[in-house]
Amino acid sequence: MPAINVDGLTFQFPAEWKASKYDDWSFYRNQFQSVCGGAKAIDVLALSPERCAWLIEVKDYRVNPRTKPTELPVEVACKVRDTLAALLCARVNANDSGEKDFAGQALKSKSLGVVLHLEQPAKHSILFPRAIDPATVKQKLKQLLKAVDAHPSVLEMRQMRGVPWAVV
Amino acid sequence: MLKSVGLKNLTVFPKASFHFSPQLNVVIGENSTGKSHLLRVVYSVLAVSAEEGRKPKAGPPTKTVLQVRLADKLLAVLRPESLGRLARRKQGRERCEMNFVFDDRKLDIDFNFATTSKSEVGIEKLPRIWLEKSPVFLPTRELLTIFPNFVSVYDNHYLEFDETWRDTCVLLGAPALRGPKEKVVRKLLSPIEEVMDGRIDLDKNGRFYLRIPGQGRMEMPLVAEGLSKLAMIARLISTGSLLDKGYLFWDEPEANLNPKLIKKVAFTIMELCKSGIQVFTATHSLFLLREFEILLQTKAFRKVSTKFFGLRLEEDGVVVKQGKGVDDIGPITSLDEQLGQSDRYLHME
Repeated sequence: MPAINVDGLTFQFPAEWKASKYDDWSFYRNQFQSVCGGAKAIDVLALSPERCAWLIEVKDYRVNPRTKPTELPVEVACKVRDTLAALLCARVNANDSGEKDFAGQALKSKSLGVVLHLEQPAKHSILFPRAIDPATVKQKLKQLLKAVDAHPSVLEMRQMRGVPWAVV
Repeated sequence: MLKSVGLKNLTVFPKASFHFSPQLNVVIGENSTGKSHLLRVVYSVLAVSAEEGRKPKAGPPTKTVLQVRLADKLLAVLRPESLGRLARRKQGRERCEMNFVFDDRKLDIDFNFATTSKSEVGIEKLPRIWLEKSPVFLPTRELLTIFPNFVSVYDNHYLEFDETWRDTCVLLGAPALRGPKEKVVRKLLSPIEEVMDGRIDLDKNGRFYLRIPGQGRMEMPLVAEGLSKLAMIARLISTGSLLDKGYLFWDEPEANLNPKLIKKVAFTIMELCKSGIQVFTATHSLFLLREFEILLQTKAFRKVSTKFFGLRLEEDGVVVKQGKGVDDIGPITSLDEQLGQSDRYLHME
């Protein structure tokens, strides 16, 4: 069962899936990161047997509240865009054969799924039961990523909405 | 059904065209971006046509009638000090131009007026027929409490209320439909009456009451404003104004309503669209927009055709972005503001 750890959260994918921690790829770190003065990377790439490529970005505000909520949707959307651009380059130019193969398989996908895994800040109140409203973030992502995935998801551990992977 | 409206130099709009859905049209924009102007101008043109057609022995449209009546109605509904104030001002004289295209092209009309116009518009394209059905305009507040004698006071004194209040009161005072259409009326009314816990009645004394089964009747001023707004819709359905084709203009339906009632309003608007009413609404409410989005995913309303219009103030005036979905109209201020509020909340000590 492929399992990926991102900042203390473990993503467990079904056995027949392939998953990789994209922002650790040597292709990204050594070759693509400096493209156009700085390319960003999403955290996890996962390929389902149905040939859907999932681009998963993780934001855990419980431990790391770095990004301001107003900047969150654009940051995620840019990471998705940069990662999609990197995949073709990785297939052609990656030095690591594993990364090259993974990029090749990703490029054979028939559909794309964008997921923001958003763990809410510990701070909350009656008026802010969830300090960063997932519906608002999702709607902004929809506007920004319509051409990539018209229905991006904003998930958290207590609200996984039936995706085939688990996060612990 | 109104298909499109083209505007040139109208108040905040330098140039804009609106391609409407035959069912649900939602206008979104910050304050001062012309949402109400748009609704009111479109309403005025439709209302003039219906009012003229309703007159006994009404002949076909003529330029002489329309050039005065359109000017009068725009003055009465938008309440500028003179007609020319509605034309967008730059240096020197400017003309405001408007063209309206309907599915029945015999209703099409083009007209214009200048910044110096006082009481007449120029007709470029004359419609060949009048509109059959009176459009309905619901202002941001309910009208049932002010209904008694409002029309006669309005007609006999100068009041600073715009004419939509009068027009809508006239429609509210029409007798309820009887006969074969009653069954359709009941179907549309039952979900609204469920929310109101009763029925709306116009008493012989000229006042509206909410009749609650087992509890008698309650005078409208004692009924919550939110419920009164729904009661207006109920009344307009039972009188036939919002039944079987027609036009509803509803400015900020969410005003004075709590989210529980906004949910019901969204449902009612969808039901009206489905029954053949062309709805034009302007809103600031993210909650209402989301209710629409949720309802549009349901089996009952999946086929409702929608059009969203985003109005945005730029350097040269207001620009319009339109599309079938709320994601097609550019940035939505209320979304950005909500995230901005999260920023501020998270940075509070």
